Amino acid sequence: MLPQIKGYEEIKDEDELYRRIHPDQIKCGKISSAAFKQKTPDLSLSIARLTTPGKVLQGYPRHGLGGLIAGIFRKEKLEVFHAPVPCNYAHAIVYGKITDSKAKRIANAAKLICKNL
Amino acid sequence: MKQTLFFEAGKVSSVAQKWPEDFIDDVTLHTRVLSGKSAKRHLSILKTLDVGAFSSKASVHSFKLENFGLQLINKTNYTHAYVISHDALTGLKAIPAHATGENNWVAATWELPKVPSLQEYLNRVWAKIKRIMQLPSNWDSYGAIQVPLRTIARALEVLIEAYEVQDQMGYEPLIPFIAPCADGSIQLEWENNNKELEARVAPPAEEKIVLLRGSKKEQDYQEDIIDSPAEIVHYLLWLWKNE
Repeated sequence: MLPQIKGYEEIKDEDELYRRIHPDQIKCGKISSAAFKQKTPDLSLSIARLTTPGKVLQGYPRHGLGGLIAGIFRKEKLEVFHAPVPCNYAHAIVYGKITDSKAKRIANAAKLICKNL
Repeated sequence: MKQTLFFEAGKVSSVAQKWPEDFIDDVTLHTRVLSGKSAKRHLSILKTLDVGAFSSKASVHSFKLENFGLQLINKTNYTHAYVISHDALTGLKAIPAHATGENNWVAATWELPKVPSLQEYLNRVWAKIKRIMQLPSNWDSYGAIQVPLRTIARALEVLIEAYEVQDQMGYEPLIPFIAPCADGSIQLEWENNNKELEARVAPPAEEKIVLLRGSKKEQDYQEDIIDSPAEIVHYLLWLWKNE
């Protein structure tokens, strides 16, 4: 796990967050809830205002880009905080157990910004 | 309450001549409301034909159904109406029907078989499963693990169960969307009539299948855990049930 430093930038509810989406998790132009199901309680994203879609997808030409506002995660009782890492200052973490039903609601609220660049 | 009428196979021979590979063994009537007096079903073999239902008023205002009608429509819109007289019916003598008396003709709309065989069904999903099997570690770029072969095998068991229950019920089996999860799970997603069903087959360490069901409109989802792929049957029944 990359080192995380909590609290660099305040993330507001309306802040958009980006996450790369594997093509096998894209269903008819929408993001499957499978994209938000993982074993560890920390989900990595990037704060949109601190990066660009191109930077997030750099090196991953087949991935899509998902966009979500931070408030969606907080509504599901998940923590969202800025956690910059050496290679990505925009890095943010969503922390907490994402159950299958939470993942479903998050996926429903997510938008697929682009399939690939 | 469900009532069943049985037609002797020979009584429908005139229909069978039009569709030589198909055969009517019996017709089942349900007591649920039949909207539009027709029910659309996709059947591979016409063993059980669900022709719909009657109004709930039937229990109060029931009378005999004199003739029973079937309307069969094939892909080219060829329609064949077949009336089976009351005398030809075996089993029940009287059938509760709607009080208006208009339901002495019940039309079932049936389309020629489009149901794939199990092999065809699995062929449709195999390309995706094969791709998932070949995903390396970190396939999602966030540290995802490979999907274990045992999880793949268990997902196939779920798919086969899902195919078989739908086929037995006379439904054209729904092809699920299949996606890998970062924790090594495989997720199967079905949609029908505004309902959604997800089955996440967890990796061997957990040996469970997490089911999520709900409606697209309400965004209210219910989670269940099953241990055996065979238990998916109840959830597929829910997916197909008209409410």
